[in-house]
Amino acid sequence: MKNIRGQAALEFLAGLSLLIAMSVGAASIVQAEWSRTQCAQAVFKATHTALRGLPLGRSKVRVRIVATHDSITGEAQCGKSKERITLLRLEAARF
Amino acid sequence: MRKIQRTDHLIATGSRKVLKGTEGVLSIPLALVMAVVVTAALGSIGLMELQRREIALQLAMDTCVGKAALHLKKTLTLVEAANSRMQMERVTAQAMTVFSPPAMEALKAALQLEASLQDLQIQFWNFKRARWLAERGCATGSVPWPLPELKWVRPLPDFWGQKPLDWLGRQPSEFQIEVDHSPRSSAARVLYTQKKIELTSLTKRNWYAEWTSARFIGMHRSNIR
Repeated sequence: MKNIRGQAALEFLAGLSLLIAMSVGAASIVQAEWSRTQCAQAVFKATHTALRGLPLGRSKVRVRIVATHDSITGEAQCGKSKERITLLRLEAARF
Repeated sequence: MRKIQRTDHLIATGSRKVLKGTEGVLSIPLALVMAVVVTAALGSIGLMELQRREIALQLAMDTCVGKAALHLKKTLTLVEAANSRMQMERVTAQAMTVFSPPAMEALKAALQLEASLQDLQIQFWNFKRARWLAERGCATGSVPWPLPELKWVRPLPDFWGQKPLDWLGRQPSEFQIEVDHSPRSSAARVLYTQKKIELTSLTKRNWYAEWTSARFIGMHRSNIR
């Protein structure tokens, strides 16, 4: 009887540790994707705002804006990932 | 084997109770933890998808507003260039009435052609305006502000042929094109720079288009309220 209960507990612990490992792995992947998406959106919004000649609002992500005659480029470093987006000025855009 | 089967049932061993199915790996707390993890992961993926859609929506709105702005710029440029040519052709036609009547007839035909091309450009723009409203701007469920109306009218032709178009009232120096799809909006404007033509007293307008900030959105939202 005791042995059986011990086996159930062992199986539970083994399952739980597997689940925790999987959860931590999945959480880190989701978190990395999440911060990448947040970064990409912040860079897009900042570049889009700069394209319209409006002042940049406050943002957690520091975006560097480079304006040329034809386009505006925004880039930011978010952790390990680097986001860069180039938006064309209207006269230079091709639709 | 028999011992294992026995533990599947609620049995009492002295003061201790053993619940049925304790040897199962996936118990209720474990299942709850799994459910929470799966829900959190799916929720995060859903939120990321929403953010991606927002960017895609912005780009779609920018594309259609940009297309409309460039179309308007092209229409304004072509019609005004034709107006300038017509003015010069009419001056030439007036001179030709004395010196060369057949040449005047040719100029009359040229004026007629210019007028027809202008009318065609304006009709194209009016068609776009109607489609813009019918398709709700960018066909993305957005609220479009009506495209600018080109208030050109043609005076009646005289002895020398068709006359250039006149703007009804005072022509605006800029036109705004705008689309709203909360929380995003897209806007562009078409405006001109004036340049003096050398050796003449005439000025030439150069129309250009640029992105701008939304101007009508607040008005529109206050109208809804």
